[in-house]
Amino acid sequence: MYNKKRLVKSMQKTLKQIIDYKNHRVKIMTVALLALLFSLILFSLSQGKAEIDVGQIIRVVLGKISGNNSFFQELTEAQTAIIWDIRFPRILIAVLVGSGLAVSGAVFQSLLMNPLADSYTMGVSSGAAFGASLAIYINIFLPYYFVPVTLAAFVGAFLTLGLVVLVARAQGNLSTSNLVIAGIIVSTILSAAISMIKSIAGEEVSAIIGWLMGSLVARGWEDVTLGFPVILACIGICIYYAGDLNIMCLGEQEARSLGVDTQRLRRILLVCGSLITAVCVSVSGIIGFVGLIVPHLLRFMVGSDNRVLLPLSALFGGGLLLLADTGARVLLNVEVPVGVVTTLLGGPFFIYIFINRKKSFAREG
Amino acid sequence: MYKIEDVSFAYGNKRVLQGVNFSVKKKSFVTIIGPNGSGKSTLFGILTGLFRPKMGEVIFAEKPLKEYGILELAKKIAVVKQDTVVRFPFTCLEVVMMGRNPFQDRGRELKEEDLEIVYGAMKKTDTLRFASHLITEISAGERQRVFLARAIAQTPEVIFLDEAFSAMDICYSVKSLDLLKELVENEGISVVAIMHDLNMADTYSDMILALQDGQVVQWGQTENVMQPTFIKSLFKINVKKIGSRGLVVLPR
Repeated sequence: MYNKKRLVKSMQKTLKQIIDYKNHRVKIMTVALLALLFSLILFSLSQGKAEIDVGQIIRVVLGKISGNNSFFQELTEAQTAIIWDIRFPRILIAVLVGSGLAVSGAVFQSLLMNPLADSYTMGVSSGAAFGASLAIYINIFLPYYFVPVTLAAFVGAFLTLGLVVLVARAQGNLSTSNLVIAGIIVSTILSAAISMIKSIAGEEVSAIIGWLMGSLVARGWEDVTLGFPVILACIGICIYYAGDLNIMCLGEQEARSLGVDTQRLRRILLVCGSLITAVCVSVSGIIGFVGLIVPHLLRFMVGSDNRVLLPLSALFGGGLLLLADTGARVLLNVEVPVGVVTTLLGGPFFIYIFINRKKSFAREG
Repeated sequence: MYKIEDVSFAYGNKRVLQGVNFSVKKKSFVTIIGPNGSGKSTLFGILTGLFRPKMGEVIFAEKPLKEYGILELAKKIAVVKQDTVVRFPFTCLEVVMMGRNPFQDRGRELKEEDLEIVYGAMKKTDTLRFASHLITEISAGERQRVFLARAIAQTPEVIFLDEAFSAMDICYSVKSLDLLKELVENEGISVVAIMHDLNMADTYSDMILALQDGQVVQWGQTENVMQPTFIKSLFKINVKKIGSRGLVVLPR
């Protein structure tokens, strides 16, 4: 009896320790990922055919941002253009698309209660690919019409989301399994439609294939200004609802009994996740695996709490795609589509992690 | 507390419940028994606000259940189901803390007071030992205890349990029922449980509702309902009464 109170206090402290340990871990991860991302950006800016050193890069970036041209007076116009108008927007796009794909992947996994889901499961990216293929086809074969590929991809993604929701809802309410089934059906049909466009495109098929493989070649500031606000806002909304999303992971009925309006949450997050995917796919084509691999790796490291998982996924996903894109443009003489790189390297790496994962990171606490 | 007035329900043309009437008083332990397909789970769904009755009304604390908002109801009732599948590696502590969700402002850190409630719930259910373990890696019985802890952490007025001890060993089933009984007597909450173990139902319940083919065949105090002749006819099995309380099922 004499030390019961102290015992209670100490056990209570243990719970606190578990929480503190997790927060500590998250802080370290955040700092590490941020540092990694920034050094990757600088590294990537310095890589390429034209030799430019890091000091010059920093001067150009600082000068451009502050509007003070005296920072980079000694550099030629071509050098500043290479840094500021060619490499920098492409890098930002890589980070943005990587973050977007990773966050939307994590959101779709929790939302559909399926660790293997991502935006591709819902058919959204197939819809974007179909829209883009159709636009490329029209631009080649119907000379009097011009359809912007990005816009077509975006419209395709959203029409597909609408169709998937409509099909899922025909069977009653908007349940998880209905959404997955509807997504698979619709995306299979769209894949066949893309194959059809490819086959009737004949010799011009390479333009479509090139886009479908996913690439960040020749992305400029207009892509950044188009994508940035939407992706950032949607990531923000997803993080705002991350606590509710955690509870969603226990299932529909459980979440309702804990006070979460599941139908409303699902609608909001489906739209946000799809919006992110649509913008990503329309800017960069199909880039596989980032949405699957990033949240999984992070779950092994920091657990499943979406309030932590989503922001870290954004940082990690952005860094990973930037690394892949930098590799794609410098490692070989030929530029490899980054979508191929992510899947080719990400796949085996994922297998390695999956086999060697430390099962219970949390027990160390 | 709860008043169920003339509730009927059907899936399409299939009638599942018909004219169900009963009430749950404050500080009482009510058990719903009945053979498979008798409508227990449907009634459970109606009581917890998952389904709306086709006819009749459920009144909770003087107010029709359908007028409660999702969050408002979550502050007053907790639900524990037989098998909740979690596919993501949350820690058990995180799962129990979710029980505080209805009372938390979004984005706020967990308050000291919340942590105390969570601690108490985990201590009572003997789940502190695996607070930092992953919910995906503990046994089914342990998982049910974590979900019971979550329900207690929700500080509800009524706890609904649907076969919530099915995977626990006999020691923890008894401990969990003792705990619930104590909560009923000391904290003034009510418990509504679906149970298949007639011996447990007989030992712990104040009132028993017996369902058969969607209709209430018996409703009353435990000792009046749990009569061998009635149980025999309800489940078509052989039972024997032992002492003043306690019912034993004889397979042959």
